[in-house]
Amino acid sequence: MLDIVIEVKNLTRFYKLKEGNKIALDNVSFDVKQGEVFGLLGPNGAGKTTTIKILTTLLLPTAGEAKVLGLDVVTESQKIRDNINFVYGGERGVYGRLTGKEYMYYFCTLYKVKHREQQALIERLLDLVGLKDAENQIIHTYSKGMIQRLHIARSLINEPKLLFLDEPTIGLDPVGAKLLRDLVRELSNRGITIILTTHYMQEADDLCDRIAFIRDGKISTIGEPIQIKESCNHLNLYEAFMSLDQTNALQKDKMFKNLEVDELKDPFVHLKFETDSLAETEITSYLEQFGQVLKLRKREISLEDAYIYLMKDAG
Amino acid sequence: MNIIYLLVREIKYFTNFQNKMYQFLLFFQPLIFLTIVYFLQQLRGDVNTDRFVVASALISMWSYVLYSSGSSLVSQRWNDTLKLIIAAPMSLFQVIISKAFSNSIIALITMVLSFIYAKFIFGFSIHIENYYLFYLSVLVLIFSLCVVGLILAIVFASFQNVFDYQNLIHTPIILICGVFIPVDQLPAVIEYIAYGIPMTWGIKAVYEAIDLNTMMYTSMIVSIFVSFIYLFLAVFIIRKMEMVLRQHGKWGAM
Amino acid sequence: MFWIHKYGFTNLSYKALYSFQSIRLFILFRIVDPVMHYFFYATLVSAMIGSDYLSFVVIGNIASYTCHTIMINFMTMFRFERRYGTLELNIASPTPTLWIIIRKAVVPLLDGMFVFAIGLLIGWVIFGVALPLNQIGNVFVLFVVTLFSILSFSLLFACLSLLFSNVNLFLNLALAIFQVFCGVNFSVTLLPSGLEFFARILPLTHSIEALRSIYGIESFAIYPLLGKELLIGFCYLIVSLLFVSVMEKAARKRGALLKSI
Ligand SMILES: Nc1ncnc2c1ncn2[C@@H]1O[C@H](COP(=O)(O)OP(=O)(O)O)[C@@H](O)[C@H]1O
Ligand SMILES: [Mg+2]
Repeated sequence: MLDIVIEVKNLTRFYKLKEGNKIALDNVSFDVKQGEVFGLLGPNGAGKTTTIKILTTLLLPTAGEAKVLGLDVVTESQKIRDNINFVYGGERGVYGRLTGKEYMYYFCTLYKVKHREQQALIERLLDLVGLKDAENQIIHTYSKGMIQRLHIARSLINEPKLLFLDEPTIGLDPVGAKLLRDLVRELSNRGITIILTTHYMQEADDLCDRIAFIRDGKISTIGEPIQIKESCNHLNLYEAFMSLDQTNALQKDKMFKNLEVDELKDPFVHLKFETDSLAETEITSYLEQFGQVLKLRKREISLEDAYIYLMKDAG
Repeated sequence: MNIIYLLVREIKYFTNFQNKMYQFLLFFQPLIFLTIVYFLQQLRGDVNTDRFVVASALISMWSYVLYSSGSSLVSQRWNDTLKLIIAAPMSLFQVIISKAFSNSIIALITMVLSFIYAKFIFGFSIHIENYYLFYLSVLVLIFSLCVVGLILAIVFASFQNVFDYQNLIHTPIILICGVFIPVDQLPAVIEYIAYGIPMTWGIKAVYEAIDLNTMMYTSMIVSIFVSFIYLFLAVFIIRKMEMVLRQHGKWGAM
Repeated sequence: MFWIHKYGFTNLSYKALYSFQSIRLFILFRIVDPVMHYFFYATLVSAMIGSDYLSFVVIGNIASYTCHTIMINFMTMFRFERRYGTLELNIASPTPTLWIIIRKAVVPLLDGMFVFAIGLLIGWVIFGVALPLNQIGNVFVLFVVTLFSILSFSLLFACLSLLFSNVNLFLNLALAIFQVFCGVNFSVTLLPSGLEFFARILPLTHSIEALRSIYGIESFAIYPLLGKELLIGFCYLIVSLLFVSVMEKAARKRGALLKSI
């Protein structure tokens, strides 16, 4: 089960702009193993979409090498396309005037599904993504989440071994996003390898078997979420609840690193911060000068913390 | 004074020569039409080309007014300005008329171009007996185009489904307003409709001014008169629109 | 392949991308608008050189309006395709791009067929240009040949449109050039020899001459003209074929397909 399905070596991509070349991907290398959910995590403009476009053969690399299912993305694009599919987040990519079912028929024809197999396939897929009830509704009337699930149904038409999802939950409400995450898990359980990009940490932590952090076209860290978090275990992260007298003074204070103040109901606040060496009692006594500390505890490291920490190093 | 300032600003900032459609209408359309005229007149020796050079200008002017003024209230860009207008002291009427007026002035460019193309590319000689009278008639025409633009802007903004048929209005107006064939030679019903359109009179005046036809003064006066009737109508409707607008904060309420 | 059924490609393409979805719009834009277009040129010509020449111009404009319809709508479909962001999804499918483009052309072709038939009818009823009924067969052959050459030419345009973000001005200019140089309103023999040569490598020019000959307005031999039209169509088709593959590579290189309008 540990076969490598994607192999990326020193991948580089420039975009030509009027002001000169823009490096979107800078010497990126990583592998994806069969059956895993692989996450590319990074802020806007990091190069996630560019990576996905190259791997789905829609864009050529400027330099470097990428193999999908052992096939070269530059020279063997047709064979790759037969075995993969992709979904771009957002509401684009649908014909608003068609119904969900008609949309599926349209792509079944493009994907050369045999006539008599189309109906059964479409029913199965729409059922899988939970759009069976809405199949005769015009896509214009769909919610963002429904459009996203329709895209996934579309992407499953050619029974792909690999599925690329570029920010699939962008702009979705929490319920829509959860439905989509459940769907991704279901697909993964069915043995489809999934490459997913997102800038939501929690989502990546939930879904992904392995994660690569990408920023400014460079990958800084690759690993399982747990490993990544463990690699940051030396961080001393705390959170505290306080009843605060001097909000401004605290916010200007330089004692703690990465201090975040969440104002709850006045005068209560929730604090998050990092220290190098202070012990808990020292922290408490220091904080007492601003107000009354109700609760202080060491915080478990989340993926977001690790991300912030590692990206700071990279930048 | 405000309205003049608005007009200058309108021409300076909002005339979008980058718009491919406008480029086509203003610069290429007269060229194409004149080419067709040039070859057609070779089929018969004695064609009076003056009329068709002017026709070329009229067609492009009308097209430009239809597509620019007509959609000035409906266009996307307007939607943002709309909020400002509701808040600004400037009346809606002033804003719309300055748009319609600036568009008819821009339309003059294409008239000048038609004459330049005609003279220097196709070698047509144009006989205008009295330039002052001709300019005067053109001014009258511009005023009528401006009023028509105003009316179109209002109609298109009020009835979204009419806007869908913008293209359909283009050719019939050219046919009934006497661009090719004088209006009095048209079937009676169409003739009466034509006389209700301010542009018909403006166009008539321009053609008559070229030939120094004595009817031209009458045509000019009637053109101005008819234009004013529409203008007052427009003022009234826009007041009404403005009220609706302030109440509902959007178009299409009519 | 091209049968129209409920979930067929043609029907879905029409529903998804075509501008005229209601009977009312169809009547207005497929009957009223062409009538106005024919009137425009008929009036111009009558005013300039007299009504003897009317049938010549009406026939020319029926052919040219058909061509306009096909080209504009073909291009509009691709414009919508890009606006919706669906173009990439189509191209990424295993169906070859050229084949997709050709299959999408079926809708505007059917539309063009309708416009052409209605045009001949309008010419007969309103302008008194009677269709010689014994020539129906020839008209049909002419129609097929013309469609082929126009389609081949449109393919070139469609390919271009995949590369550039705005081809509208381009398309308007091309249509205007057709109106001037394809002998729609006056015979191409009036053109200076260089321009006549240019006119004769455009599609439509020979078809229009053939159509007039069928109507007995001009007296050329019909089949040689149609043969030339066919040949021209083939040339454009071959250029388009080359172009599609070049374009696909260029698009992958530049990432231009990914641009939206
Ligand atoms: N077609 C393009 N032309 C020029 N620059 C581009 C193009 N596509 C992306 N870029 C640039 O490349 C960088 C990476 O973009 P992208 O891969 O879309 O990032 P992400 O998906 O992570 O937000 C960005 O800085 C973006 O501006
Ligand atoms: Mg992206």
